[in-house]
Amino acid sequence: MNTTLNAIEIKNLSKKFKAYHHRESNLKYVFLNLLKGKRKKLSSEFWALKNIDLDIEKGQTVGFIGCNGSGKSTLLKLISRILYPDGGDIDAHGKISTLIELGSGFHPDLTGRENVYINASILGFSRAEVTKKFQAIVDFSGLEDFIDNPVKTYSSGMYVRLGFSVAINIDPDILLVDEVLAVGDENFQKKCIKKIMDFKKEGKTIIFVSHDLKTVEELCDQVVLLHNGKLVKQGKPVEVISEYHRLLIGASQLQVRKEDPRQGESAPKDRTTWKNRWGSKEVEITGVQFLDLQDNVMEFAKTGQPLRVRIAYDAHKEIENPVFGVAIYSDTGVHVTGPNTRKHNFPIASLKGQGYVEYEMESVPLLPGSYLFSAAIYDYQGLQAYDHWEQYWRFHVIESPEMSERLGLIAIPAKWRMGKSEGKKLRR
Amino acid sequence: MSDVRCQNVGLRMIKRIKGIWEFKYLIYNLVLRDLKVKYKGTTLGFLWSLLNPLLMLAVYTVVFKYLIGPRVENFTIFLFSALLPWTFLSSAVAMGAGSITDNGNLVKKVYFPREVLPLSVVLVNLFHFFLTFLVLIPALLFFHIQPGFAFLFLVVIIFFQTLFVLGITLIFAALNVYYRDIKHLLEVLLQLWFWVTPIIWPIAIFPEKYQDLLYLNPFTVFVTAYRDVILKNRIPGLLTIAGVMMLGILLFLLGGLIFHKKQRRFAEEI
Repeated sequence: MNTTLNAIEIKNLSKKFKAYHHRESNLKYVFLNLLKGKRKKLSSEFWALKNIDLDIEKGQTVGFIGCNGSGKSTLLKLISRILYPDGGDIDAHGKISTLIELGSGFHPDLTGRENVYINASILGFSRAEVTKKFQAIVDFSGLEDFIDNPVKTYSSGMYVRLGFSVAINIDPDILLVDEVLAVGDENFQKKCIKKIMDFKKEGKTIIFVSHDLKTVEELCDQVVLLHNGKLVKQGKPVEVISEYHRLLIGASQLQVRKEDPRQGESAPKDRTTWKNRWGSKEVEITGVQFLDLQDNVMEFAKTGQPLRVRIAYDAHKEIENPVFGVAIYSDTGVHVTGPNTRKHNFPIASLKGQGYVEYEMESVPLLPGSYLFSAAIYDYQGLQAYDHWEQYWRFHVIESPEMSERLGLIAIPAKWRMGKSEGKKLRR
Repeated sequence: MSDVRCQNVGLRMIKRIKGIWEFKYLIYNLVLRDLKVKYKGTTLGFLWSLLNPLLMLAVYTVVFKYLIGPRVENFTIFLFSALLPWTFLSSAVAMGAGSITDNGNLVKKVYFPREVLPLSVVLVNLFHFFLTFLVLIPALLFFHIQPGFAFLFLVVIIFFQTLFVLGITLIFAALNVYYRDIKHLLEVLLQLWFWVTPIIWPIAIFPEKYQDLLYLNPFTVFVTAYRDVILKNRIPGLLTIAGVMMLGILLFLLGGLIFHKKQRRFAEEI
């Protein structure tokens, strides 16, 4: 058995969690049950991870991705020995450290210096190691001037920076990183990413859990996709991330079908109870469809290809000069666009009865991902809402063969050019 | 090489202790932190550790010797030879019971042998216990007791009491993670235990034929050992010494096993 090439070997690993029905009065129920002489179940169990097999090679940077509750953080905690498995084995070869901000473990009355020493020993530093690393830790935090003040005088940002500086100056063989890169200001984050790149160059094994697929793709050699506690796919970042997108789409399509039998009406939520809807309802939006140019209902849009959004209405009385508006939001809540018929000089004289208005994109500029869609009808001044459905519809964009951009939110149709600067200096 | 599974409990325990030993610097730091924080900002600082037992000594002497009237010869030393070890036990257990839950944010975020937390609490209290000897020994001389050869046995008794205290602390620290009422229940239990142990009253108030029953209370064994040495300046009887050792080892093993079994789900239950 050649195990020297693997940093971590996981065999048939399973983990279950308990969900308590009466957490706050646990002891009371234990006694009551003893008195009644029966063993009523105090908790129910569910498997957070089931039968995971995974080998991680030495020197690789591996990303764990998946939806919330997929088990990726649980897996990381099992590797770091914070949690114990309920089945299977984990063999790790080398010293494991978790890159984690432990500012919350600081004692407010002690100085920054004293807390650094304590914090470092919690992470498993020996005395000699702390002394050796102390200056590097302080330098990294940028808190040289405050290091001998009690940390209760620190701002929350300083707390986090010092806590993280201790953690990032460790010297493990295997480094575990769990969503900590959302720490500190942008400058500090860049420093952290740089440090992780340094670890990578030194040939350390890094395991990385993140929702930020872009960072995962940039940093990782390998990506592992988890879904509902199972390992779905392992491989090259690009492949696994597109599998993840497909998985997301699949999951929500299933939802659409279940909740709304009318095919093509991309309504993921219950229309009658949707709370983010308002307006006087003299005219109502009765549905939104995502179509291609041949009026076929699209399962998902493709970057760089046309998309037609049809907004069906029902005007209960005659409405003059209405304005139709739509909006697209990214999954993370970024307002991508918000056009309306008035701004686009598409006057609508009046509405009566049923009909539809279409918003057609010649080329979808959105990069692969999941998006939320709003639609609304207002009066001409935009003061009175007739019917406004905020972020009610969800649609997915997948990559198309001719469009391989993937960083950011949108693909801007643009060209690159080059030339020689004959004698003239380029101004910077 | 993959780990050879140790079926043997003893081997596993040795492995565990080795794992804890690797974190000795953390234990040292935690003990130091507790001591530092305790006296941070106080004017007398460290002196409080000496003043506290000294003042206690004065109060008890006055109350029992001059107000209530002596029932026991050399009452102050009689009391202190048992009260100081009791204080070590009760404060370690009371503080230690919350040691895992109070550090929940660490337990949930980072791996280290969880035993380190209750252990460092016990060591802090052991340190305070040692400090009180700085008061006890001058007091002995004051009350005309010359510490003799028998006093060397204190090392043995204190060592096994520390194991005993550690065992109890481990048990309650582990249980408190699952049942938060334990910490409050413990306050009452410790009060009760204090009064059923011959600390403030002599064994002799019981009729001789019932006195043996008192030894069902394990702390009575320790009290007897301490009194033999400190008060009577003599080597404790073989039975007492054997009792002290057995209780120390027993509770240490029991506490270690219960803690080890319970700690698997600490991070989930906190």
